[in-house]
Amino acid sequence: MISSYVGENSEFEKQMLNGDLDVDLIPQGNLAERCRAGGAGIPAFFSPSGYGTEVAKGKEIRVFNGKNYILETALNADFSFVKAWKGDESGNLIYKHTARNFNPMMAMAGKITVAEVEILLPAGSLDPNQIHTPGIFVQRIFKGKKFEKRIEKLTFTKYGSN
Amino acid sequence: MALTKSQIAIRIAQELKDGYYVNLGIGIPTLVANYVSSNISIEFHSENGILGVGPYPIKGKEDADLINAGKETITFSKGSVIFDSSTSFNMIRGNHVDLTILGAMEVSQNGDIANWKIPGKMVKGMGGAMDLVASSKNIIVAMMHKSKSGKSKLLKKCSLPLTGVNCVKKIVTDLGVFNITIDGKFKLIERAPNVSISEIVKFTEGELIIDNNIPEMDLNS
Repeated sequence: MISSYVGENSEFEKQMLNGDLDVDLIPQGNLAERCRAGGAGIPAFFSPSGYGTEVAKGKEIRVFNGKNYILETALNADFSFVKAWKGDESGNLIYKHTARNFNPMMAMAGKITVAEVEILLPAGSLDPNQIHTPGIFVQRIFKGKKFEKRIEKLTFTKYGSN
Repeated sequence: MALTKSQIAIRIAQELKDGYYVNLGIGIPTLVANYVSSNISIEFHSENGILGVGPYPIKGKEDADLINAGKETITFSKGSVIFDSSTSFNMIRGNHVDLTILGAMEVSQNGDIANWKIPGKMVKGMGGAMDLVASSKNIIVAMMHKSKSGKSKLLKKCSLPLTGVNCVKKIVTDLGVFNITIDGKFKLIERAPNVSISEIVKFTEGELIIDNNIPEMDLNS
């Protein structure tokens, strides 16, 4: 399991601390860029994130313009699973708000990318200017049956309106 | 009197300048957004992929697809923009964010920071913290001066696994404001109202530089 933040998942944390689960925790920006690189055909790149920490152990360090960088390698996957808001029959995807986050990079990095969408439309229904993930990165698409959207931290404003 | 967490946030809010793009970490840093002067315009960046984080929603208006990096429900501010994680970290790594404010478990006098892992106990992952501290132009740490067990969190050398090295510029604790000097020491700049120099010395393990006449913080400006 390669991840950046497993947060409040206590079962996951327990399995990891017990050694039942082999977990590689890496900086979030490096995770995003390694997947992007994988999808973009770039095998490796230098990143400053994690220099001087345990993340850098055993990795090549290079200095550019007086700053230290770590060699990070690309990540690819046999399967990628992404979730989008709207999709069309060509596999083009539009995400909603901050649910976009890692989805575009994951879609690029997978040999077979499976997209679950809330709304599935005929090809030509989406505005070409507004598409986030082009269908070339998507091999399978389906409309999900049920979307239970849980909120981890429900926070409200105390005053005013928005 | 040592500051409350909200007062630490009030003091840090004074560091914000008009037009700044600011990333706020989880905990005390999140409170800073509540105390931005109405005379300046600030855009808050959250690394999950939004620039222009607005206030928390009113009840009933929350949207599970609109959250910050701390997984709290938020709203858009005027002119907000959404992007993917890669673009978000391009903003951080590419030095486009002006100021990062984050919490810490330990800071050392040369500006190293530890805030992501307690071996064998807490392992949630570093999230975006390592990217933020490795690349930000300016990093302010907001934290309590002592741990819950009463130990100094301003150290000669961090004991916990590091998040980044030589990166912290300023620390605001419940006892005072400290700059990290170029030669690697804590320089006391201000003290909390009615907190004595001797109290700060007593609870700071790292090397301190204290000039004459350290002013008290002004929390009303």
